[in-house]
Amino acid sequence: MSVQSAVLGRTRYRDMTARHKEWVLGYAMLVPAFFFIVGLIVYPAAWAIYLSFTDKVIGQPEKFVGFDNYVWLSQWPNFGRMIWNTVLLAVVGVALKAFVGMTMALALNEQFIGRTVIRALLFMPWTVPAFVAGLIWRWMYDDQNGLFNWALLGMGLIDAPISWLGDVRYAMGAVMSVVVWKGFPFFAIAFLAGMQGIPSEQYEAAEVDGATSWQRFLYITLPGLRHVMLITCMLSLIWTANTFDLVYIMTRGGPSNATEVFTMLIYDQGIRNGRIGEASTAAMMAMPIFAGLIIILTRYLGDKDEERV
Amino acid sequence: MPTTRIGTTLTRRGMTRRTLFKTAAVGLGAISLAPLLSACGMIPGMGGDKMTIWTDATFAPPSDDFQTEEINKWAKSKNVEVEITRETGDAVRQKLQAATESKQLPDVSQIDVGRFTAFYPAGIFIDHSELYAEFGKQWGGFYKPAERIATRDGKQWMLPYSIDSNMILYRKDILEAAGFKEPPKTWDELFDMAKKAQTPPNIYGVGFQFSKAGTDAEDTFYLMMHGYGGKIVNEDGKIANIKTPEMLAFLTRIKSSWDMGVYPPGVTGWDNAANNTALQDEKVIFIQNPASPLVWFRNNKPDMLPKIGVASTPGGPKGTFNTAYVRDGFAVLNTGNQKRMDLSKDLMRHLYSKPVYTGWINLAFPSPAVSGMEDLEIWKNPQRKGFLEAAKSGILAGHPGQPSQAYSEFANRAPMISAAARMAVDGWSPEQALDELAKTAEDVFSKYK
Repeated sequence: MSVQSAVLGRTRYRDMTARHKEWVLGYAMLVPAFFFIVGLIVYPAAWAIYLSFTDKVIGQPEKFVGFDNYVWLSQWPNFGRMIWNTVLLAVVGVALKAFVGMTMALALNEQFIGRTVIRALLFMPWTVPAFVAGLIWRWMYDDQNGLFNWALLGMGLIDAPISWLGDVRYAMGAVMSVVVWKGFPFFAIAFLAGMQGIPSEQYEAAEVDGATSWQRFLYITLPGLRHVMLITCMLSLIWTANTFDLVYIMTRGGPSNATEVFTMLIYDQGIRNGRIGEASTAAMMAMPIFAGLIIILTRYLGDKDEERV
Repeated sequence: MPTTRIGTTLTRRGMTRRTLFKTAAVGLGAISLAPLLSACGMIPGMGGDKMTIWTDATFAPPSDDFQTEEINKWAKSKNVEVEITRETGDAVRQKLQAATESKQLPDVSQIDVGRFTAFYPAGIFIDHSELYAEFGKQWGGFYKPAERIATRDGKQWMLPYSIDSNMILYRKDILEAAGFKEPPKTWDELFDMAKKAQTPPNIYGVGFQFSKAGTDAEDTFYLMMHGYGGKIVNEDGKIANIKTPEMLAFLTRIKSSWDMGVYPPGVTGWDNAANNTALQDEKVIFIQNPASPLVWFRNNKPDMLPKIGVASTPGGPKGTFNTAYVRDGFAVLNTGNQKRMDLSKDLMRHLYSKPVYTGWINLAFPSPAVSGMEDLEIWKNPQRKGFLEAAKSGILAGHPGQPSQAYSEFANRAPMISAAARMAVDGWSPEQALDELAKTAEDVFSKYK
């Protein structure tokens, strides 16, 4: 840039109205965020969509194949089972997390000694890396040296070890239990925070009117938490539907295909076989559902902002 | 020049617009440069003269430590700076994928047969024929399975370092107590012995995994398939007729073994370590595995070690087969930096030198890929000898064809275990399992036509 144009630029800026100056500054401040969003979200997402229409294999140039990958995926032998398992894990998992989280939040909302310590401890499962949690729980469920079988055998409740992760009757439940264990603290903390925002006068008035604790929960706590519940449930639904590491470590989708979820197909095709095109297609199949959830969530959050304004 | 203040917060702090812009510009510059600066130091191939070497973490840490120490010694003698990373084979594979796509390859990577097969089409390996011939001459030649794996179009593209095999490991003491003096020669014998010698629920007969998490059993069932005359590919590497009476006989044998009740109920959920654990905890009689449990017994239960027998894989009506696969190998990667590629070749010479190679083999559990170490003391041990024999004559993945990307993808779906699990878990008939197996093969191989 020449000195002249620099001076001119400065002069022009000086001549602007205060409103224009704010406008320019505002956009200037947005530039870094814009590049980050384009670079880290838009570009990878667009690239993944493009790859899903190619036969891309690691280290080799890709060729456009149209909808071939989508046709291939729809004919995948366990496609239906995989989708069912994913939905089951996400929906039931989130419902259980919400239930356990609410129970914990209600308990921790009461005054008792050691409440702060327990609140801190409550967060622990949430902070444990999924990989570590998977290994720990795999050991606990282990049919040979696992904690649960050791305890049940010791108490004389069973005669032979139960194959928690190798029996179709228990495997999904075992995986689900870990998903819930790892995820409920998020719900509990969110609900607890939401409960702090409900005016205590409402409870006092209800108590004066003779409302039972169940009625207070039903008519004050639950309505007061409905926004928090919606947001936590939707976020958790997206996260849980994307669960991979726990399932992979605990069962690798077995026994047979009883716990196979669609993220495993993405991993197998993308990482183990280097078939990035097919892996992207598998990822894209879930995209409309997640996009729908995200749109609902953002619109809802937008509405809340407007309400506040 | 008048000072314009922007916003209440800035006014309070007394920050001028110019200061704000300067700060923002410096901040943005730093943010933009950070990845670049980081990349120069972090991404292999961009760190100046520093060599990047990716190695595998194995089940024998002392051998890993020995190797790291030797690489460092070499680096010091050559006055070269090296960065050695040691991770699981899966992690190295993932890093190689990213490195291949971004064309930021390490100088040297340890690779096994799976990684070599997967990355060979990407053209990331240099022609190793000269080094291969040099080391072959030095060590009396590479074993046949190693040569077949490393060779494509008459040239060698990697350097095999070790060959591993899965053998039958069994409880000699239990079999002897049940009246069996010799290990089983056929699959029928193995299951019969297991049935007679087992005392469930304390000790079960056979610890083969019926779970995709336990890939040892993929190998076991693959060998059983060949023993029964089944095959997935022909000699040209193209898909064979899979729906044959031989394949059906093989699957029927798995199904009948399951119905005999010789497996612990949990095998449908076992991972790759569970069969080792079962033998180590004295809960099964037979497993099929590399030598790693022997290393474990030596270190943790030495009194049990003499009670463990090692035998060749049993045979079927059409023969007896053992596997051989390159567990450890090295490849100098095509980074385009001739100076560092020459240094990498020199490092290979160091790793294949007599004291280093024999020192490593003495600490590791697989067999060497070359024939010049057969007189080492460790092969006099009958428990280890079988592994060396298998290394010489074992069959490769994709037998009777050459290991290929197509077969590698097929094997990654654990098709044998899936068929076994279908019968054991889902109650499928052998015909149904065979049908699915054939469809899986067709689906994979159709992409490589």
